[in-house]
Amino acid sequence: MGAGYTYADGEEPAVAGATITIHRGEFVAVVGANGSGKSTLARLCNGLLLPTEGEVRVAGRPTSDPDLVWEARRRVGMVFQNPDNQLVAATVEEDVAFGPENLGLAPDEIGRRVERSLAMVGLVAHRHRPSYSLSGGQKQLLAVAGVLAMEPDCLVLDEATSMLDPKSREQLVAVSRRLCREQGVAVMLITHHMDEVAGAHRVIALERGRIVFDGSPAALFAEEALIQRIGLDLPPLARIARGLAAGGLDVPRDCQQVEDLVNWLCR
Amino acid sequence: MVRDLHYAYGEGTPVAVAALRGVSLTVGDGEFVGLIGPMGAGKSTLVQHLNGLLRPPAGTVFVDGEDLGGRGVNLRAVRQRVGLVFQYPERQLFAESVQADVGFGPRNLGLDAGQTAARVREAMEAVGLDYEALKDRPPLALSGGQRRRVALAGVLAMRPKYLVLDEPTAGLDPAGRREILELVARLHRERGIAVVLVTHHLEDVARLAERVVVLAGGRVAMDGPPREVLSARRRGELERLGLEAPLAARLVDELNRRGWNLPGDVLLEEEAVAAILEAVRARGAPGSMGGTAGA
Repeated sequence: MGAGYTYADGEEPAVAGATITIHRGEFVAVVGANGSGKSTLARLCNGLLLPTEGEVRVAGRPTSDPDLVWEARRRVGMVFQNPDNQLVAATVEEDVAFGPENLGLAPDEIGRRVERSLAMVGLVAHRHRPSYSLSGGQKQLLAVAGVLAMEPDCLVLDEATSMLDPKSREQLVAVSRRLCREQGVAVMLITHHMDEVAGAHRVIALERGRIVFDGSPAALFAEEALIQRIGLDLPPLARIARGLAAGGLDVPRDCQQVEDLVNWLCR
Repeated sequence: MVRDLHYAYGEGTPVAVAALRGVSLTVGDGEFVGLIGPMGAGKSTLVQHLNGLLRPPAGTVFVDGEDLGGRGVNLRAVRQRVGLVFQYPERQLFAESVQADVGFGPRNLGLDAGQTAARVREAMEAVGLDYEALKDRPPLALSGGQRRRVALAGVLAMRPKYLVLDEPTAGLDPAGRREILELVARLHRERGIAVVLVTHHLEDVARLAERVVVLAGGRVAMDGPPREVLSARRRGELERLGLEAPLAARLVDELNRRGWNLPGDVLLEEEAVAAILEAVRARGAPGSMGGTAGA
């Protein structure tokens, strides 16, 4: 509620007056230029940062309550951009098992979670490899698997897809949607890839620490002036659709998939 | 030039993982090569051999005829000629000011303070950073895109003949991405620097590179001009290697499957737009079902 955060050495707040509610089962993308406050917003969500103004609540309880901060972190799983800072064990499998082991779960439950998390990110074939031998993108997937194995209520991916190839990015968006739908997980995906945004239920855009848009991806893509002002880009399909519209075709605004545009052109 | 290069992580241990399995590749003077491939294909491993950072257990790397595995090779001189920009290079900025960071390499070449300062100014201007305004700032006080340009300036201050960039736009916002790509294109065009660009953005490769090399499973799987390697004709091959053609190309493929007759070498968005508009205007081009779409 009206949450804000100013870094100790900051002249301006990194996030100011942010009022958002993210519900169970909701898939929210967060976009904005470098330095617009996306990561600060993410860190406020699990009590990694405590707001210097306003309040952040997880499951109805403020993150500022020292008794609840571990509870908030268990519920809100975060993955950051740099996987090298987040991997802890020698092999892929052990790394995913690390979190569940620390929860004190039974060995067969740990095994089940490791299996499922690796399958979700597509790393099963690499399970016995030393983590350091993975590529940058594969390490990012491993960091995601490690957090999925904790079965959080809310998953926050802070530019955690920046080194993935397009197929893995698509797969991760599909996994996020499934987690929302089937298990009621809330997903917050911070990204510069607008094609990932197109797959979200809702998108929040930040500009210099303030929320300047909160609505559906299609509604954001229609706001061309805003997109330009805050230094974003349309996703490739929307750019093509816009090009066709500029050439005189009456292309519908809500093409989400290549198939939608193809169907319209072939109608 | 790289000949029959092999590399494994944990070589000689029970958990050895082969990353390169016999890669041969020659990059010509002033060439712009896009190096693509699915995650884990060996791209980053390969580029770290190009300046002797990794030493191959089998195979040879030559730079301008000099064998990097040879006795008495001057790796410092090689690294001056082959500038390697890592993934997230700004994470390696370490000095207290931008000029100290960018000047680190030239100073180590033995240049005096005046020469070093001239190199720093030149490199900062090349990447579009205001020398006077930024030289004394701590790198960490700059924005993400600026920090990345500082890292790139540190490499350019060595006046490399070859520039190898490993996913230089990862994690940047669209404006930052465009800046870096325009900069790389300009360095290639104006200074004749040979570029090896590792990326997952096939559209960038199609737009900028003269040649594309596809690495898969530690081997060179395809090699040729972008229009050839990424063309519709070879799309099946590309997909089997785990790569997805640019969206514009997939759109055109799909329309052609539905009976349109668009050119098979469309890779860029503006090309797709132009081809579709033209087909629509031509109304009833042979086999076109979309001829009435604009009516």
